[in-house]
Amino acid sequence: MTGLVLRDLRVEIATGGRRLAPVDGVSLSVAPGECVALLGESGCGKSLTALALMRLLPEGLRIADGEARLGETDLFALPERAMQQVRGGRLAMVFQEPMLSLNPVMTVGQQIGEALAVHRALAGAAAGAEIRRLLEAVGLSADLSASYPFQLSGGQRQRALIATMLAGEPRILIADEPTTALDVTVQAQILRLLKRLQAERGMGLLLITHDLDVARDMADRVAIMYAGQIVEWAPREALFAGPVHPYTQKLFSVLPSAQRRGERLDHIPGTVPPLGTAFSGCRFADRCDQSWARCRKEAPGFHERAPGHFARCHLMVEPRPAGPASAPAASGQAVEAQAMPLLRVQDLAVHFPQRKGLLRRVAGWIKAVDGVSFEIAAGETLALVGESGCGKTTLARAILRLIEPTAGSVRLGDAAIGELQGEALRRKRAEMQIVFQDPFSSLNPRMRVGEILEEGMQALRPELAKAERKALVPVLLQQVGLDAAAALRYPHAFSGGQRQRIAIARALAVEPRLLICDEPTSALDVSVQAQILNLLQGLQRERGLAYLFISHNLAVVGYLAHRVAVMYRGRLVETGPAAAVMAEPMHPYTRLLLESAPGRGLGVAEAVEAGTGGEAGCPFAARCREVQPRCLVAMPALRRLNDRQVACHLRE
Amino acid sequence: MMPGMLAYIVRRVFYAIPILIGVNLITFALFFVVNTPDDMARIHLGAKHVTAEAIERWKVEHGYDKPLFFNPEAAGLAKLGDTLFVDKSLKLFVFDFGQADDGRDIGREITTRMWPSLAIALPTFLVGLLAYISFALTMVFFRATYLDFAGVVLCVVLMSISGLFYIIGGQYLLGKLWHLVPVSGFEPGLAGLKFLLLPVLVGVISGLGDSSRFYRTLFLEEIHKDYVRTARAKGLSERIVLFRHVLGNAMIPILTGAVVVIPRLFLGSLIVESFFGIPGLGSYTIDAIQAQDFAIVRAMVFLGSVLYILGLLLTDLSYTLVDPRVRLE
Repeated sequence: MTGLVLRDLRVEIATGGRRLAPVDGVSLSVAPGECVALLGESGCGKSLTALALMRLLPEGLRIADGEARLGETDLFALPERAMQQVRGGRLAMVFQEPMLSLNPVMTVGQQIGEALAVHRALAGAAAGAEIRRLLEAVGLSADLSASYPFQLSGGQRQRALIATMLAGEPRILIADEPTTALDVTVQAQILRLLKRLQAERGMGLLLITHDLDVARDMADRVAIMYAGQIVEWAPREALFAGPVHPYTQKLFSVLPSAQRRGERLDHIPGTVPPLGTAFSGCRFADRCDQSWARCRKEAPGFHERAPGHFARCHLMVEPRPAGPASAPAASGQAVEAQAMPLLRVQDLAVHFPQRKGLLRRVAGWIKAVDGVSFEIAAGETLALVGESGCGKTTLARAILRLIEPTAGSVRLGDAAIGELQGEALRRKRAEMQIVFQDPFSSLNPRMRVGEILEEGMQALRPELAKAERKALVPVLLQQVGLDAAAALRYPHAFSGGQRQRIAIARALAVEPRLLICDEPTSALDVSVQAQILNLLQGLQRERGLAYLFISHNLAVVGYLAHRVAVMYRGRLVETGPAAAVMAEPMHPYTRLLLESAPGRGLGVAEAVEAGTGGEAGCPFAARCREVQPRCLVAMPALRRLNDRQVACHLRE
Repeated sequence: MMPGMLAYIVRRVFYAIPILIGVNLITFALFFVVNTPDDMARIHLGAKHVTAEAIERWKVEHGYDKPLFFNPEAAGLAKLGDTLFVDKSLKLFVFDFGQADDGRDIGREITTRMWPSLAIALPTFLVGLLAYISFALTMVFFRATYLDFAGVVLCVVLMSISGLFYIIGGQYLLGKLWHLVPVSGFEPGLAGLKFLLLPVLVGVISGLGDSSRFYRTLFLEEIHKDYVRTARAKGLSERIVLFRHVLGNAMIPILTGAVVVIPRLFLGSLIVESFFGIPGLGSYTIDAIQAQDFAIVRAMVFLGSVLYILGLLLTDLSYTLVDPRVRLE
């Protein structure tokens, strides 16, 4: 057997005289031609497990115990020089951030050539031919060999990185969240590529992911990791048919989807235990709603529930004694939107000038947002979806006038935002607030949470006296589910989900009527995402808030939104009620987005990666599977069909 | 060269014009308004001989007898042209520096004296760059060991000691005690090589602590980036990772940071040249300051600004050479 076998891996970090183990007793195996998904939330130790296998742990961390065998080779016993032959050779690894994982000052060809030189002693013309072959194997043009990484898109870079790692003809490829930073359409392509390469080469694939749907599409077997340990280990079919560990069950039940509309999402109470927690029993016991006394006293064994299906839980061998049942998740009421539009955006455009030449004359325009119209009623959620770079964020900023629109109008209630100046604009801004994507960089690290909340009120609600502002802070914190004591602490003391709650509280402080949420959960773990989505829904019910919810996650959109607007290259291509659009997309682009979403088996036809369309025709024509001759010459207008709108010649 | 880059250079040269006019006006104000020609004359004549006639005579001899900006006695355009500002300040733009107090042509002095300055400054710059990078890279190779720690301590010690100490210590040890090189002096051509060794050595050592510590930080910042991890994951040896990947990227800030001083190498170093008796522009400036020769000091200030602006332009151009991501337009 030439597969990979890992036994009882323990990774230690020494801090403050203590030795902590972020990975504590992990065992798994990957057979040739098999895909194993290692799944867990951030901080559970899945990436460290992979880096330990490569012996590339960051400084300060070390392999304290365990054994890793790749075929006959004992990886942890090899001297460093011999390990270099294994790394990128028989065992290779692809990383998460394609934007940062390639050397910016070397060409793609040079970077692949390095690996060829080390592992296959190829140089000169032979290396050149092999580089071209590898680029073609990952679906890239061989001409890209002379390109620098900055000249490639995210998807192309990830392909180039995969080509580099294939250069040594690995038996096992570790892929650490290889698609997390990519758009859904590109993610589907990269996953298909990995699956194809794995089958063609009989390669074992260890896929590290936080996404159950990705695991469902890719894996033969799945390992669920929690707090440094594998808690469940099962064949894919068995796991998706019925997860047995309470943590795995929770991971499933916190996922939003169109089917769960109107329901309150389940959540996992508490947070992941911090590194260094002394466990006396089961590591999940404190957050588990099925735990009993034994769980806190005695660490459960790794029990085989069915052939090949293991779980680290006392429930596998003993039924839970009778006791108070945990409260079922409360089911919320579906929100019905009102008819009167609160926000009315008409033909909004944001064009950025491109300057050229000696006198910096304007040579052309980048049309980031190009004639967008929509309405949002009070109490309604409109989801804006589209790939990165389509203009979603620019549109949001233009609505708030954080950037000046080139043309068009925005009306909030009865005020034309575009015509307001100075003090009037500031006052109106209190009615529309924004929550940003990254809660780690959107809060000033040098201000206390209370000051952050007060600052907005001071600027936009000058009628409040200082004492009144101070009195509001604990109320706001309580509304977003935080303790009043949080006001005295700095943002770094909080987790990602808590920071996003602070960001929401900051926005609510000035009593807005419209809240723009720019990918508010995409930086968060699924269990935290569920909490934030529940919070947003609760606030909408209580206050009748309108949301413009920008997202690339269609499952979240299907769960949360009343209506959807799909954006492509600065224009809306389809709008309509969320349920209808998700069930029956009318625009080929919407269909592509929906089919690319993970969890559907990757079975759709290969899509073309974003190219440039003709100036005159439909911007999507270059990628469209149903393209007609007239699509290349005439731009389709957004037409109304009952309660939906679509911009496609096929629907005229 | 791409047309975009040519346009960029032309535009930058145009941008330099208002900056130079500003520099020119400020130096003129400092030298003629704050410190009037009358003051200059008094300083030169000394306390004893100061009479109104003597001052007037000194001003006529040295060409300082005209009004600052406007000459009501001249005719036509010469009302503006025949002034100190045009004579002393505007002519700097065409590198006409006029005469020093001893009557010698400053322009000619500069062109002869810049070569000894360059003979010291250029080797110091090149050897220094190589030494600092090598030392920093060695520390990074042994990072988080006692060797690295000792290197950082050495850097701090070197930084804490005054540059004068290295000069005097070097002269004492290598010149006086061991008789390896002359203590000071200069001779043009190859025969003068022995005079260059000590100043270059002292120049390199006095910059070692500061620069190596800075470069070490740059390397360490680079070494924790994702693409370096990718390079290791390919199975490359630590040597190749350091030299090809880390050095290749860290050279971008190092080189572009170094380029800015290149044009100023002509001006030499004030202290090194005067201590080692090098007849370069550095000692020329020091001597002029001591002799209160404002014409020379003014010329050197202006020249320094021009060369600095040139250095900034070269910096921006050098980015396009070392970083494929940068295209100037």
